[in-house]
Amino acid sequence: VINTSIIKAVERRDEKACQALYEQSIAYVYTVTSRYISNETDIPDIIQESYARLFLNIASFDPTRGAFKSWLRRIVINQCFQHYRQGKSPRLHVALDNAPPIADKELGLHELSKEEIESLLSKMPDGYQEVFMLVIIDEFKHSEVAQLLGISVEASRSQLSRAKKWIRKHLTNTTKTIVNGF
Amino acid sequence: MDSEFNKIKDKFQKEKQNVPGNLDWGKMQAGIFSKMDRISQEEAQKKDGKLLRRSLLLLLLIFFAGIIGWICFTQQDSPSVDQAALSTKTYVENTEAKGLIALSNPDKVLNKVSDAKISASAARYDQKEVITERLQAGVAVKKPKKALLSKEANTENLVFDKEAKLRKDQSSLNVSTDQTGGLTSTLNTSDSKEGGSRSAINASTRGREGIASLASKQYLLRWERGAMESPLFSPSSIMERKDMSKHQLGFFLGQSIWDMGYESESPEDSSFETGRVSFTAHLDYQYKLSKGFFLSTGLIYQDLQSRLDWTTDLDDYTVTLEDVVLEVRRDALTGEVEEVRGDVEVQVNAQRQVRHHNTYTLLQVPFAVGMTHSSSSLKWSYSLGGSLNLLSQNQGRILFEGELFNLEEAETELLENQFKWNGFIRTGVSYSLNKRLDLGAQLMYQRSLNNWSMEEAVRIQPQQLNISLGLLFTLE
Repeated sequence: VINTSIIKAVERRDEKACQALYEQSIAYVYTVTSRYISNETDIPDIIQESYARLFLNIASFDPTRGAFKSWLRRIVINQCFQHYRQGKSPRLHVALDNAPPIADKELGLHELSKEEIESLLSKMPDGYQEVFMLVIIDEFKHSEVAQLLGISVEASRSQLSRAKKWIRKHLTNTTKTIVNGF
Repeated sequence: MDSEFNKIKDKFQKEKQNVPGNLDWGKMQAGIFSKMDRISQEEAQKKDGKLLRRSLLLLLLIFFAGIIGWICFTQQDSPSVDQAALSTKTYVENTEAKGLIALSNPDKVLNKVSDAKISASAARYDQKEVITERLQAGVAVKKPKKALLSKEANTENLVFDKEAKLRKDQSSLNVSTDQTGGLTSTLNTSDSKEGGSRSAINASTRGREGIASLASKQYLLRWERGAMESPLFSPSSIMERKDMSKHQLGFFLGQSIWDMGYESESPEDSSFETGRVSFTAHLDYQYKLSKGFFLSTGLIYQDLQSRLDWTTDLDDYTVTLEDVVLEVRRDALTGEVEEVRGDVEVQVNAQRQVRHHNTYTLLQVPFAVGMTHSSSSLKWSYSLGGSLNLLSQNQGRILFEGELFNLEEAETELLENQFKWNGFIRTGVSYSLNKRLDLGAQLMYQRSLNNWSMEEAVRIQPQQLNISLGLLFTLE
């Protein structure tokens, strides 16, 4: 939880407050960024850009409309997509060549490790992965996803529905099918 | 299953990765602050750009409002002067000696007329009569008398004929006489008797030959060569009266055939968008200048529709259909039916098809200069000019580098069509229904002079062919 006095101080461009805010939030910002950007060398640039926008626009943060964390996450994710548009980074995780194979066990989604889930998501058809990540993981509304990806709200809903079906299909099959199928 | 997805969310949300050393505040601080400066500058530039565009637009509007205001002011200030001056000039020119004065210093003549405070109705009446006389004079020119041996003689006879006809209308002559002062005294005295008129005018012509002959000859030569081509000499009286008004307002509705004018250096940026027949509406104001030339401005509304038709291959994937009946066996002896079941793998070849409509709505302000040509009840016009996209609204999606972007969002990043200039040529024909109203058709080709695309590798310069029908109102 970010102290409101820090936010006020950042608004005044107090350098120490900026540092405090940065240090309190960088771990989370890095986690979110690395979820969307697979190229490690691009991450510092995106983080710098995100914080620059955060510091410049912090006055527009309205605590009554949501938590600071959600607001920050949206800035970072927007910046990641901006990065895609500029062609500086490939879109999300492309097939992970060295991703761990999914464990040879009866599968429940929650039983998979984060890496295994990432591996599963990376095999999804184009479009499914982004919508799934944005809606399920990062709690974006469909209208926000539509705006971010330049698709209609209906398209976002249908992509998510297909993504969920796709996951179910692959998880309800036998482990053998999944492991060999990929 | 949805609870499973929530658990995934928790797994991702609770995850905290160790921050690499290169993301320490000390190492990132300079980059963040320099980016803040850059972003601030960019935003300030955007604001400045907007301000500059708005200022230019405002100046342009003020400029054109000024021109229109000036035109209206000069019209309102002396509504009868222009017409009275025209009648005076016409009369004076055709009676050579007076014409010399009027032609050598037309402003003076105008001032005199203005000082005389001739009423609008009187002036208009006078003007109509003069036009009639001019038409008659035109006929006279068409059929020159063979007996005339020289230009000078021709001049005298034309003047003579003209004077004789003008005499028929006393009021016209008197007004003209007052306006031009002592110069027409000869003419006044000649009103009582036709023969006297002839001799008086002849005497006047001869007596002032030294002053009059050169300009008189020049004027008549010019008159003979060019006067018949002037719209004032067209045979239709409706057209004549319309031509006396300097203002015309037209309203046109029609269709627009257009294309994006798309060019790209990279194959993945090919255009998948094709223009469709679209709606267009024009409000056109014309201000007539002399010799058939005119200036025009107005508003053009364009609702340009296009169709995006994009298909791309997605990765093929395999679907396993479980427990499918593969074979049905019937035992010939017992009649027992046995189903053989198993899993079947089906290869799915997936494609993504995107088909939708885009709309580019533009409100343009055109500025043009052109000329008209009349023949019987038809009037042809040709004009050349430019237009500015004053307002624009885009809806739909645009494809760029294999990605779809919302057009509204893509503005300022990929495509921008507000405050862009276009060049156009336009031709039109109108048929006179009555003295105020014309039925018109016009054809306009317009091409954007600026690139709508913000990407250097891509050029989008739409071109349109507008065909429209409408009505033209001749204003007082």
